Amino acid sequence: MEIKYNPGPNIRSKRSTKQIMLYLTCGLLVVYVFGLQYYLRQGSFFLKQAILLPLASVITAVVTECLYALFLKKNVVSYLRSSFPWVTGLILALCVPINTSIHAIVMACFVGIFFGKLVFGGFGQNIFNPAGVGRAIVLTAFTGARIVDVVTAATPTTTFANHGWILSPQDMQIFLNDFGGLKNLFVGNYFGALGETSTLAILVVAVVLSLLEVIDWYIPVFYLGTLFVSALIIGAFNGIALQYALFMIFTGGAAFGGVFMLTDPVTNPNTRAGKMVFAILAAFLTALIRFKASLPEGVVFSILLVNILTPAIEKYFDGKSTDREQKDAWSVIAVAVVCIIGIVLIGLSLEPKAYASVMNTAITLRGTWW
Amino acid sequence: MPFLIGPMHQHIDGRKELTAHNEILRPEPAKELRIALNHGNTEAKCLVEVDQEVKIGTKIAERSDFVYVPFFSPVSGKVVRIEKKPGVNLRPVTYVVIENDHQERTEELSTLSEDANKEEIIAFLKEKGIIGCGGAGFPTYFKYQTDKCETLLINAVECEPFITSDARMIEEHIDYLKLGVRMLFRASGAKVCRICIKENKEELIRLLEETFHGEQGIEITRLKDLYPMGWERTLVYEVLHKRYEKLPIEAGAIISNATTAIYFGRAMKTGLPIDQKLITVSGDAVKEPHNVLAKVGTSFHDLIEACGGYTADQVKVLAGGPMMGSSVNKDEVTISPSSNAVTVLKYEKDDEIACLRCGTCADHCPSGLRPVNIMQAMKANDLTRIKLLKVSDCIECGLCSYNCPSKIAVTENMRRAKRLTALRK
Repeated sequence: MEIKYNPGPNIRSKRSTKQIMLYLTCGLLVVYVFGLQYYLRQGSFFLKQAILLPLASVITAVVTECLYALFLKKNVVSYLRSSFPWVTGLILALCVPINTSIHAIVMACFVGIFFGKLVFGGFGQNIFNPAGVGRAIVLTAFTGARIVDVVTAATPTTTFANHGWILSPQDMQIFLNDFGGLKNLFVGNYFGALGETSTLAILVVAVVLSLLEVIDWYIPVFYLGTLFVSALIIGAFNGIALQYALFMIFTGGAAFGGVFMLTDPVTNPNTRAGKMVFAILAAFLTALIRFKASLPEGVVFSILLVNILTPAIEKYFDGKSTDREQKDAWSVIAVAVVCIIGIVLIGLSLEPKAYASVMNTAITLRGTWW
Repeated sequence: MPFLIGPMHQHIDGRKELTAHNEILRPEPAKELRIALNHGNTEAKCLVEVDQEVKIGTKIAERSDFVYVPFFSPVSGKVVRIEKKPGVNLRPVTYVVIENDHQERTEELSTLSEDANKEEIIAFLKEKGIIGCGGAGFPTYFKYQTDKCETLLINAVECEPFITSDARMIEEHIDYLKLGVRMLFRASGAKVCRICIKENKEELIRLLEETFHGEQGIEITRLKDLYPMGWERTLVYEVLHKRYEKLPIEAGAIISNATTAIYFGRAMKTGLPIDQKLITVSGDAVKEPHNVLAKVGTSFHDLIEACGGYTADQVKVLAGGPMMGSSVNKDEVTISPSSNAVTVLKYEKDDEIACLRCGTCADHCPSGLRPVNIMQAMKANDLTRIKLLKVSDCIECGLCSYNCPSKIAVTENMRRAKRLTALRK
């Protein structure tokens, strides 16, 4: 019998990072299964894409990290068990457009894992969300590597973006009808990214993951809340208040980004007030990019941009939390007010264009490689 | 506001069923008792010599700097050795070794009448060396030297996992508790006395309600089963909704442990100092967990043997509970008047992975600290930032390590940071 010295505490909670990652993986799989059931009914080509994209992405992520572990002469199995590459692979596959070509996702995943995560020192050290880096690569470097299809090209977000992010009340109604109404946009039975379309599925998973303490509930709440409130005000000025506000959060991966990417603890600030400010700023950047940039979608770039702000936010909120409770509260409120006013001012500068329904001109070219 | 700071506490499975209802063991006192002459990190002055005869209640040492703490012999017999050996905090301390003659001869001991006033009570507490029995061992008399007390809190929370000795003491000595609480209430000058206990200890609550029924100003306060509910700062915040800088008296509160009140009541009637303690010997690597009534100076080894010995090849022996108890590397260390538990756990290596910077440690810190930031500052060797983050407010409750999903030794890092700031003041 031997008495070992071990500085306290000498019991540990059962909750572990491995368990958190397992729950997160399950949550992502639920969202994936929901996407799969939709593409199951869209013909063999889309079904093939829906199966191959995540497979290629996850395999690339795992192989990249295996090679890295071998290069570092570490035990591959134990390295993978504490690095969780498949989560990045899965998130990436769920947020790229369904018609992304396989070679594009493989490249994007490799870049995301290698340049987004491993060069910083691996799990826990990265500054940017690795899946976000991969997604940005697909959006920018591989714009050509899509399988052309007019129907899938015309996602609600790209269509809306082409019309300058605002519509008159009549056009808004026609636009929503083209995509099966707000209810369908919420449920998510339309073409888009595998895991981004169903706000319903994402929110259900988000509630469960919050209860399991896998994600911090206030991050998606503050992110989507800021978008919602500011869109409500902009919409009110244009006579489409609630429709506009709901469209803002139902579409374009806002829910997916808010629930699965902004909540990544490695790349967000480590205090509660910091996380709230981080989420609000992300919402501001999302709106800014949506309204004013040439890219159709702002979520992923806004996430990467606020990732850069994480150290600055942490520095601002540094200190003992009980000492700065009031200061923190006022800071969060101030940032929220300023960001909402900012989004509203930008939003009010938008001019509605006449809406041309995409569905009338739809020509399907499914299965053709670019 | 838990929304911005986090809950600042955590429910922990207390495993109290192991020792909550079984028999209390009363083994024969050992042949040799070794009294450690340290009070916290301060060494007390030895007042006896080798070969000197002592009786139960003979003063053998005292600490008399800014506080006065006497040490008494728990048995009658002869001082056979005075030696320097590692204590529970692993630092060498002086032990007075007394050979027990099993005669139980007692000194002439003073008692206290039930009509005693504040000054008499404080003098008696001081003379009898009544100290906080919750673990820290702060002299009780010291806290009562004030006239600013509005609320007296009797701490029967016992939030540390595995430990049941306070609860068992209350069951066994409810009359002493009643007397002790009544007298401490008088000494405090408070308007209200609240006996704080976890809401899940239903039987004990019933017993306390019966006992204190009709006592003017004394009420029972039920608290949630959370850790560290028994810590002064958390207790004052949960019961009185106040925060304070240094001492609870700033919030108008004095806090005394229930066992402390019991020993005070006992001393009033019998004149005995804290010569024996009820020790919870529990954990997953001791054969038959029990509460053991043992003389001060009994070795951990004897206590564990009384409970059937070890059941694992590699064990951790803790002076106290699993959260705050300090790990000892030899079981020859002995119990002191402030001891309440010896916990024996199987040794398992933690599977540590990289920090996620999730902030769970900060959410649960009862002091409102942010261990994750302190760890960053330690890595960067940024002493200014460590001080700004007020690491000295850490009480080493262990909740940061307990909750860390990556199984990092966060609390140990906090200790290192505290030592670093203390060194370079």
